[in-house]
Amino acid sequence: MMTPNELKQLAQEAVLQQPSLDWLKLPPQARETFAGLEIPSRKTETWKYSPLTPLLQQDYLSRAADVPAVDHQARKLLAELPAGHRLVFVNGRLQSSLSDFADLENQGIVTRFSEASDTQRQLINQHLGNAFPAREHVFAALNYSAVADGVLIHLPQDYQVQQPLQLVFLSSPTEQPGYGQSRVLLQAEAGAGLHLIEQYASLGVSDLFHNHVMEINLQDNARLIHERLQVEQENLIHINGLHINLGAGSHYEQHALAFGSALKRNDINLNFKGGNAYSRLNGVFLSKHRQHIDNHINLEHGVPHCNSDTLYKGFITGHSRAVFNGRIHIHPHAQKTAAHLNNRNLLLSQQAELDTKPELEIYADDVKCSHGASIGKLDESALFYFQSRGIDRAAAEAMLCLGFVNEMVAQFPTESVRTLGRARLMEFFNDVEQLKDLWSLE
Amino acid sequence: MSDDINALIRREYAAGFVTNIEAETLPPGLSEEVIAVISAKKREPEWMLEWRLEAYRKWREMQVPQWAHVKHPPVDFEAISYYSSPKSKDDAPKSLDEVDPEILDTFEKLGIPLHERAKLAGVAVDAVFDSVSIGTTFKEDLAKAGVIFCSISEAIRDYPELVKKYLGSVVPQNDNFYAALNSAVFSDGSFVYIPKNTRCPMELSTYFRINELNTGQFERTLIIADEGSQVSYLEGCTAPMRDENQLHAAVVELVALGNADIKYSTVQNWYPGDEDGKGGIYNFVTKRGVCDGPNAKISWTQVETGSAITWKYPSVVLRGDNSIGEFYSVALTNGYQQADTGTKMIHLGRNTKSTIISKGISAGHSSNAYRGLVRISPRAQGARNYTQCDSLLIGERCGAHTFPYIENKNPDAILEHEATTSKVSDDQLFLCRQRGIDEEKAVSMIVNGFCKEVFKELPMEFAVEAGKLLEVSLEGAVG
Repeated sequence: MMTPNELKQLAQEAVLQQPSLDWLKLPPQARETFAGLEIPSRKTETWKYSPLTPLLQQDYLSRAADVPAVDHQARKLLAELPAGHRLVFVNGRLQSSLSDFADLENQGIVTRFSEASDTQRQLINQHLGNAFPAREHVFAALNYSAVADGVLIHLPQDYQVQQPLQLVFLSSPTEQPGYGQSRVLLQAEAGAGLHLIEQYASLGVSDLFHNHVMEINLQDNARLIHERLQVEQENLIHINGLHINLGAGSHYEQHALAFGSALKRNDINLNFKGGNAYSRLNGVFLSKHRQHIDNHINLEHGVPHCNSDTLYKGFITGHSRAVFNGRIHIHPHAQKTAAHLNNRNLLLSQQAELDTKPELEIYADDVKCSHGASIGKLDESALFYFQSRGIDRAAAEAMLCLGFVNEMVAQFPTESVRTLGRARLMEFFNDVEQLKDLWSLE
Repeated sequence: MSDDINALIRREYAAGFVTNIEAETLPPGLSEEVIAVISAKKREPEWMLEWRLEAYRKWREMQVPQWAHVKHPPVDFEAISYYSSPKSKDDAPKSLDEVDPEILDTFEKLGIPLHERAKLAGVAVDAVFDSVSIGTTFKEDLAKAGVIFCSISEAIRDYPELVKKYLGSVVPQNDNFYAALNSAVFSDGSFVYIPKNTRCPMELSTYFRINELNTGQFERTLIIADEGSQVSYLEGCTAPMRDENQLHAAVVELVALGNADIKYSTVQNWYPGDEDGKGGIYNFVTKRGVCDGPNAKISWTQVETGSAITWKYPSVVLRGDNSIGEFYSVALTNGYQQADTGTKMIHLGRNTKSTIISKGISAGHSSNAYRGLVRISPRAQGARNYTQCDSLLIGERCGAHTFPYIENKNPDAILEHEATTSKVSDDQLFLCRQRGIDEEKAVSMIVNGFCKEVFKELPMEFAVEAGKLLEVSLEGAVG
């Protein structure tokens, strides 16, 4: 196993040596930022419960993961998705042959960084890296320091994209462990609207370290509906940063379903930059076997009159470990904020662990903020109710578990995404051996 | 607060020591020699000196903790004198007439009995009131019940077996930076032992050990409740205390054996610094209890209104099956005060239960944080925790924060955590004002109502004083 320092050295010798786009003006010290950061350890507050062990066990950073020919398999998987504009990435790299966004490309709405026009380059230079402090996100800083390519989604003023836009990230088997870094910048000008479907899936077992960063800038009154499915296979290491700036009157709504993997980390960072903005974050995370999933949500209420509602549910079983951290930060003068965050968890196994930490940090007095967290087992009276009606205990337990999770999945706005999410959920639950273990532990 | 009070509070404390060591102050700084001198002056046995030296060696390896949500210039540990000798009474006020009228005014508001005021104000009169007779009846009653209640220095000499067994058993020497420092240099404190199946005949209070009130900046308290016993202990008092030490690093250890019940109540109202946030006490305390047998119960109740910085997490280790831990807290910060306080509930035994009720009130430029940990171990079948943290903000320059850590490794446990933050409700204020209650009075009524859940856990006379204390502490925060 590597030490964190060896990992850092490797990152500097391999990943950071990859050429960046020459016109890209990284903010001063972008590379130095990574060099100056510590690889997180147990003592790093934001990584306290998520050891990087899986990342240290193999050499993921020496080479970028190769992209084998997977068209046939991929098409089968893509067929399950609703029709529409689609960007497909394999092991972190955008694959034109699988994608379908020619229309949007012609209109200048979707562009690869490498093919950006002068004005688009200017836009990228202006906005890339604005939505998060690189100092606090070491893997985003790593991603940032070597931008070989990326995707710019630029919605002009008042432009409404009619069909949902899909971002599909596939991981495929590779010969050797490797990394894939992907990057998306979404710039929605005032009054623009978009429905985004983001899906992460696997075409087989692979040793991939996927380091993804997406930045979203919603200008005044822009709207974004964001559906996210992270249903990859469990061998993968996936570190995901989603960083959003919310302009005045903007609206952001997220629905997420995520399964654990060897190490999965989701950072969501929301910055309220203009009044009357609203965000709703709905999410559900599940982990089993020896999976690990870590959710870090940070809501920066920097201006007055903004509202946020956050509800995350967790389902934890097997030998797995799940982490939730939700922070509401009300800056001085951000008066009239109403921010509510809730985390509810079902812990079902003697060997599993859940660590949750909802945080409030408040510097303004005229606000209404609350958070809640609960951890529990299945409700005995509900189980009794089922049994008194002739449904055996195992079936009753399965139904209650499904109901707990499905409550969140049912809120996905797109029917086909709901259906897909439920199908993946059933696969997760149908892992019969595991469920048997679970029930017998009573 | 005026400069006069400032000066007054900084003046040397005059309550006097009970030990008959010659007046002498060691030069600032800490070394093994200094610890040897402290130990020798207290006429401690060899093993105690060894224990202190061990703690000192561990302390030297440790770093000042940085994780708390407080800001202060680094403390220069070499600038502190670790042995403060009995103070001269020469510069203390000679009678109540010389005491700052503002302090007297505060006593009036708190309803402190006349004969106690002089003592609290640090008036250098030998017999302020008949402390001897109170002390005597008090000691007789305790002796009849077999309760040991003395200073920890006496206990080290008279009950070495008990001290050896339990000192450091709950808060080990190297538990944290300040606990290690305390272990090395602790000055004095209380020792309580309640024998088996004994109900302590009265509420124990540091107040009754009036001659030993000045326990200095490194206080060490050890309370042992043997099987089936019960005790309620009160620490501190509501009156503003004069104190010349800026850094306080106390350690309190509670041991509740099977079926024992310890209730520990604290009211802390130390000097919080002046209006600009200068000065004030740094209160870095380690308080922990262990329920070391089935059905044991430890309950912490605290009302914290003083100190410039409070860094305090009264905790309970629930080792025995069916044991219970409770934490009730009101923390009020005003001016430039900073508080980072909360609790830890470590569930190890089966069917262990814990309740956490924390009420934070921030006003002025202050910062008030709740930091808590609830940990359920894999063995703790049927564990149950309920946590409620409410914060009230008064004014737009203060901060209120909540950092709860919840770690669960048992599927049979049920944990609930809730926190809310809001300001004093305009509706409630309007209702009071409509009925002719002025704004300041109305706010204080609402704040008192907000804290009711905690106050009802305090012993009766404390509860009344605590309510008034909040009122006094909030003066000037409204309007």
